[in-house]
Amino acid sequence: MSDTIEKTVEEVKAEGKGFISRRNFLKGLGVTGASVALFTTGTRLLATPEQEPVSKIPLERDIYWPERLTREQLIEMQRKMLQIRWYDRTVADKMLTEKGFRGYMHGSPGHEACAVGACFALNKDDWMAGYHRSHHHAIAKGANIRKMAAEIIFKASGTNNGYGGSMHIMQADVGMLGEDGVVGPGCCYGAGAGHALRARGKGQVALTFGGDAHATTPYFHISLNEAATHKIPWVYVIENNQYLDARGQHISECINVDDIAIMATAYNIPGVVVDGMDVLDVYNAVKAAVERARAGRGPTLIECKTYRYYDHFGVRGAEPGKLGSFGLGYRSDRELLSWLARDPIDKHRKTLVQTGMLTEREADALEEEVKAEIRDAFRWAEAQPVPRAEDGLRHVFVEEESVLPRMLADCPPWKTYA
Amino acid sequence: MSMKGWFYAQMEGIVQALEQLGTDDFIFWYEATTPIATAPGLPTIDLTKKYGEDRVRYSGLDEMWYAGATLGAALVGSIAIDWHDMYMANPYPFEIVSQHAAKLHHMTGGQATIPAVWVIHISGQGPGLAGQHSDYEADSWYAHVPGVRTVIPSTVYDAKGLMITAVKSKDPFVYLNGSAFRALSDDIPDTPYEVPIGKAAVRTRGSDLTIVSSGQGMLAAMEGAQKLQGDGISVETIDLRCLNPMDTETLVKSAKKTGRVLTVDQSKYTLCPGAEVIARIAEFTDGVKFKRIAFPDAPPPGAPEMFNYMKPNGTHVYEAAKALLRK
Ligand SMILES: Cc1ncc(C[n+]2csc(CCOP(=O)(O)OP(=O)(O)O)c2C)c(N)n1
Ligand SMILES: [Mg+2]
Repeated sequence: MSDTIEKTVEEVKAEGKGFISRRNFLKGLGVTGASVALFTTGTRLLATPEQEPVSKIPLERDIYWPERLTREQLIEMQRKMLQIRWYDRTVADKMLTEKGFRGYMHGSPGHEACAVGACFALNKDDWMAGYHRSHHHAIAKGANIRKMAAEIIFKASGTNNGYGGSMHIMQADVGMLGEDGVVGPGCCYGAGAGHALRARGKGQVALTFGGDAHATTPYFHISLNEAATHKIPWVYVIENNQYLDARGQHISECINVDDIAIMATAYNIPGVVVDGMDVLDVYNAVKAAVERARAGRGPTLIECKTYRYYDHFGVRGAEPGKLGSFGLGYRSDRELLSWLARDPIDKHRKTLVQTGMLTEREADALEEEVKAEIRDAFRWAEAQPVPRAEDGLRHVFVEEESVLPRMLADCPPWKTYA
Repeated sequence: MSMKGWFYAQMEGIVQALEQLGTDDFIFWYEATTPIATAPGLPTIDLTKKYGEDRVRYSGLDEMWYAGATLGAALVGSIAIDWHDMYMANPYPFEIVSQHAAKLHHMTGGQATIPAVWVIHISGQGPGLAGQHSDYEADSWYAHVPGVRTVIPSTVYDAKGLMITAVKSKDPFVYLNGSAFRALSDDIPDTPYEVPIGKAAVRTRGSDLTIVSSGQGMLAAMEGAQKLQGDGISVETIDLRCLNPMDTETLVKSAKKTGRVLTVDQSKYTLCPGAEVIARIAEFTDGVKFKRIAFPDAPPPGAPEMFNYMKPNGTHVYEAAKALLRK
């Protein structure tokens, strides 16, 4: 992976072009200064981004949260991002090369820092709701990767026992409310979960991830309004990758503002833009928002500027062994290259190496370790049994073993419930 | 006559209906499907080019918005179409259609007129996408709503004819658009024609047994009917085409002739269109024997093993018919 990125950086430099800006897309980054990394000595090892709040209400920044992470935690962030990267790269390569492969993906590569930075700010017993592009959320929140691999190929021992697949991965015991294939409602049930958690009084919070298109739905606005009005302990993280689906519609054609985070102003809560390609930047903001929520001060809207390397869905424009989808009609390869050059995994690796937390060799070894882990996960998944046909009639209810097979000529006319 | 694909037939229907009405006061919203249709040897139909970007618009993602915007356009007198192709979001237009479009004419004492069509896509054919994306149930929802016509073509001919009927009508229509049919093409008339509402189509004539289905259920029904015919059984196969109003006359007459009625639905068993078919026939006949097969009362599971087991197919139809004939 590093090879690709370095070449890409060179290519981009050679072209003498910086990042391609589309309708001031990167203006937010310039304003926040989020991409400025200041390396110093001693304990202040890491970047101190000067994030400006986008909305009128500031998000408290008197603490720089990444500073308080241990070396182990900082390395763990890298491990999680690598797991996400290689999980989806493996899915992509299998889609490209294995005939009859049953899995598919809305690929996460590019979005790793958003999920990992945000989930690192949560406790295990805090709850998180994902969206249709959600492999990264599941891994970041700690879902079992083998079972995830089994799920996306519909195996009986998958996280969802083969009932859901890629768009519906759920593992309740790590605090996942599940992914959702319908764009929008996750913010309502995420905030609703936050409301219930507050009533329970154990200091838990809830977090919803959404794509940029969330901002075009009614759910986005009603959940922010209600959560703000009632100070619900909830954090809303928007991963703005600029595009909607495979039509290639640009988000700027669908909303009337440059930064989604500014919509927080209307609800009188903090709204901030962060660099979604920087795991520490994401972590810093989400951690501050989580602390604010736990302290009873209500929700925060956080917009991560990011990019998806693959196509909206599947592997159009991708090649086996190569990261990303090229030649898609709706975006330029140069735009993709400019984002690849800011790869979140590369960036964090550099941070770890330059601050002496990992040697280059250790960083390579970490990546190899993760690759092996993912290979093993898919190998395990492939050996798992498929569900039994009749099991489709199960799990409709908790309190009913199965429903009647109404497509069969000899289906019994009724069953007794009493 | 010329060969046209499903989508081309629908686009041609829209254009011809507007020509017949003599208007281009027309509003069209779409999300995933750009309204450009081609057919070999025929002129390309490009709605945006023809009517302009002010009238033919990409909607963005919010289905509730453009379902409602369609209603608004119709209320001020434009012919309005909501090309709702996001079947995982089918409940969204339901609110607008059932609670507003279907009730306004009545509630306003006959003032509000709604010349709108909500073209609602239904999927339900393939495994792998699980509950939200593989579902087939909008037929049952909309058929229940008074104040709106609910049609569901299963042939290219009807796809065009029902579109013309719907667009020309002063009343709101729900036009259910089965995703399995998008690959169909057929030799159909180039001139405009309407398919009347409330009129079922008899696809095969017979005297031993009546099979009734609609939409994508017709695929299984026709496959089963063919197998039965191979066994020398005389099958009458009825395609409802219009769920509300439902063609009770054709149903009752056929049932009286054959004495046996099998309904086939891709929709969930409980309150599927077949349930209404059986109720109407039972209400107005004596001694008819019935059987109903449908998707079980469960969401469609993702795994192909489970989904394919549950989705009614030609073999299910054949076996249910055989059992019914033994009764
Ligand atoms: C309500 C609804 N409408 C449409 C779709 C089809 N769809 C799936 S993802 C998507 C685009 C979502 O864009 P965004 O929120 O930016 O997320 P991204 O895919 O870019 O991560 C669309 C239109 C859907 N799943 N749900
Ligand atoms: Mg997006």
